[in-house]
Amino acid sequence: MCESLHEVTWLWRGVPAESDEVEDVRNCGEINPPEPNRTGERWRHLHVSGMTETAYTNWTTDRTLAVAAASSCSFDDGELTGQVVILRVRVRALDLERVFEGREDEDEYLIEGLVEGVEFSEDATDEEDDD
Amino acid sequence: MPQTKKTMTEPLKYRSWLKALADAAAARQITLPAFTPRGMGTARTAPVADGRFVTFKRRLVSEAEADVDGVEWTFWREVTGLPQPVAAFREPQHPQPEGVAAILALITGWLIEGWTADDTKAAVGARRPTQALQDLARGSSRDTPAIELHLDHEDLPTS
Repeated sequence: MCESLHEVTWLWRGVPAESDEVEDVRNCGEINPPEPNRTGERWRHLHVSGMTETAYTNWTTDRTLAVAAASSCSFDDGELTGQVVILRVRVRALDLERVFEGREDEDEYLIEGLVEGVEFSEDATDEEDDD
Repeated sequence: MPQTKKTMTEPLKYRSWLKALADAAAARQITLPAFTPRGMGTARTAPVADGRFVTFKRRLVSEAEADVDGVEWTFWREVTGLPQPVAAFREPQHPQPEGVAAILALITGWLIEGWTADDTKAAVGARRPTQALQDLARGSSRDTPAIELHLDHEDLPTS
């Protein structure tokens, strides 16, 4: 269980504009992890080490980190446009039993399984939206 | 003949390690497996014949910290369906030409030239002697202090 998010309103995630996740959020506001059966401590450890084909998706409490992270993998190569999309999910809408802290030295959280209620974040002013 | 004063120029900074690597590989006529972005600054190559692949991660740290060691490369091998890290190391978030050439050589060695796990670990250690895989993994997860299972490479073929 993740108890460090009680004061946090949103979790943020940045993805390439061409990601399937963007289409899923547009269609139904949901994100599915790539390998739903890969749960547990072992797979969380592999996930935070970079092998992200697991039952988890990683998020951060800092929107600017989501932008920086997504941008680091985004460039125009013919298939990618270099554009990134920032997603957000309200913490209070999450089952915190399915949210796990990532690495001690990073602002990273893992959500296990389907993530519902995901929205697009248009710009940094969204951080102030704590309704 | 007038003397022209030489000026120091900043080395070219690429915005993206992955773009820099792709350009460097193309310039050297090396065919690397492409990196596929997975979101939140992670990307991985397609696996090569014996289950080897490489991942890239932009660590979720501040810009100032990322300027020092903001990205993490990990070399993997899938053994009986379980990915196992063989070597990992960190680099500054903004690639410089020297670093790009070095990382390209390491990735080429692991994915294309078939370096052994020991050779790869040694080459990584030569570049980043203080960044052994164990050091990166130890205490890397607040829920999982360390999983030595994934750090034991004795079950990996050495050739």
